[in-house]
Amino acid sequence: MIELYEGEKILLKKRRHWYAIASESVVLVVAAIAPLLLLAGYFANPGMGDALSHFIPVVIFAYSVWLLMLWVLFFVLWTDYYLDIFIVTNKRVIDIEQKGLFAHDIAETRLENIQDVKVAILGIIPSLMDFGDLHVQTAGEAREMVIKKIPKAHEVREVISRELNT
Amino acid sequence: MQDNNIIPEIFDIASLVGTLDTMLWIITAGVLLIFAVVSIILYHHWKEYGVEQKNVKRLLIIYFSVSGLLLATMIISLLIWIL
Repeated sequence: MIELYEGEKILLKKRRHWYAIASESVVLVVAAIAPLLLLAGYFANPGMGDALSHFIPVVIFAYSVWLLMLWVLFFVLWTDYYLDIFIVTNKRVIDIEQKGLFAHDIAETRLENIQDVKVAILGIIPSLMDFGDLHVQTAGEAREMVIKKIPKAHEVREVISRELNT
Repeated sequence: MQDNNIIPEIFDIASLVGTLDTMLWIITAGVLLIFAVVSIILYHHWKEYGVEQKNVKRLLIIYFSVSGLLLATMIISLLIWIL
């Protein structure tokens, strides 16, 4: 949770682009469907299905366990995605990053310490889907803050630049 | 001298099913334990670090309803197999 200073207003909040979580989840979807395809192939084979039909409750049990583990794993990935957030206020920028389940990192810098803001959109998919990396260069100890796969990165840069010039 | 009873014992369906039952119970206990531990950790993160708390309630409903459905399917199929 972020506590705001007196007179501080949140200008924008951004998470990574949905493509980031979608691309990670594809593997889980394939892993969820694969046992069904294997079973369909098995039952399509004459004689083989009969041998397995006795064990149908065990098959359903195993598939439920498999799906539950994938579901939990998806939420571990989703939590990592959901808790990573970049916030711009009228006084500072805050980058909150969840690293796995046991590391949580919060970096912030006041607007007056920002020296430069750059956007890097590299590749076909980021260009088509309009997301990229935002580089915030500061005068502080941590010289650069990099926020990856941020949607509409140019708009975010403009908001920060506008706020720096007011 | 070679023990001729080894092969029939290996293919004894009753003992195989007995072993399978034990394995299924062990798997169930393991899954419940992993699920409980990971759920507590996730819940802690959502409550502690979630910026938009109003979404956390919706998140909990989705997570636990699907998990509950899968756990129920797991337990019911196990009971059907054993009984």
